[in-house]
Amino acid sequence: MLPVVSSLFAGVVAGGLGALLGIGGGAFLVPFLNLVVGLDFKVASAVSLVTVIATSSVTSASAGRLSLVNLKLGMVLEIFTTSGGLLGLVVFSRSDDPTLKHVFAAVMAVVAFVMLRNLRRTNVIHDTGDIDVGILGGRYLDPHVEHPVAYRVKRLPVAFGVSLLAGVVSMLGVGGGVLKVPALNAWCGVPMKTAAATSALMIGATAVVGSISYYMQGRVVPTYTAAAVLGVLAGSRVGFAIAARTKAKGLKILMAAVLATVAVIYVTQ
Amino acid sequence: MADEELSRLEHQLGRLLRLGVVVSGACLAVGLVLHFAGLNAGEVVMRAGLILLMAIPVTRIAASFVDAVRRADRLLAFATAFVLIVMALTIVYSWELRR
Repeated sequence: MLPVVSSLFAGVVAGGLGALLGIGGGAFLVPFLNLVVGLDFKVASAVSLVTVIATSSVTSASAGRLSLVNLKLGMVLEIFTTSGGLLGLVVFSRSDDPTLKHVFAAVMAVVAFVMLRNLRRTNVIHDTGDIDVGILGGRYLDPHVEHPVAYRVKRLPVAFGVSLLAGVVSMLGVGGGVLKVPALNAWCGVPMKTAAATSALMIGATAVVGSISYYMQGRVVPTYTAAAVLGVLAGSRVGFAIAARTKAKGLKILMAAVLATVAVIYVTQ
Repeated sequence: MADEELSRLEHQLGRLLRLGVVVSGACLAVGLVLHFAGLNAGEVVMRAGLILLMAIPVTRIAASFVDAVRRADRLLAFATAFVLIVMALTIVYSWELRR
């Protein structure tokens, strides 16, 4: 029973982080389930991936959050995240645990580094109503800014490539938001909050690809997964309460710290 | 025009996501309790909750596909159809992997 309770607790923390940062919380959940609860890395990543669906659904469905989602951009990028997911399943099905852990650590380290370098990209234009945002751009109301804001999506091929990579990596148990959110924000002109909200919606579709496969392979252990999902649902509620009072800059620094910690754990293991 | 319709779709998707999560979460909680009470039904209920959870994004994308076709939004229709095909391929691949 103790491992199940631990999974529940881990889910609470992961859900809180997910809601706060716009990432799935998988970056926390996989190493916790693997190192603390003692689940096999492959089971830990499968359990984590299923919780990502819950995080995604809750995060993107919350009031106010959905208006920040760029539905068009999200669905176009889902082409790449889900294809990447299938590609990842094929590649990782032939990899052993140490290899998977090193890839996991490498991804976390890269993202933490990227996050720390780009802290001030709000990417918004004062929306006077006559700005052309293009097919995939958007506009929204930010409670922290007095006027309506707009943004254009730049360097689309970069967004495609990163989404594909995020899809591959997500099969390790993360949503892939850890790669997409900073890339969309730093390179593609998407405001932080839109990047996070859109990514939150996308990771559900990406995670389903892996979850279905892992479920069919018997890696989704019902007890641990049920506990972790319930924890995530509870934790994301708490995360939202805090997130409503936090600005983008604080979120980013916190995100980088979380990622760096995870990377160090797996490299020094 | 299209923006307003898209935002109505967003609202419906939000409702779908919330409802799915509530029902799935309830199954998982009940299943877990039954499991610890020593009942075999616990695992069945948990599995139902998990399958329901996985069905949420699939349903969202299928609904978006139908909506995009109805609005003659080619980009979204293509994108959502593509994703549904990838999901179908995943099931085929995983089935092969199991054998």
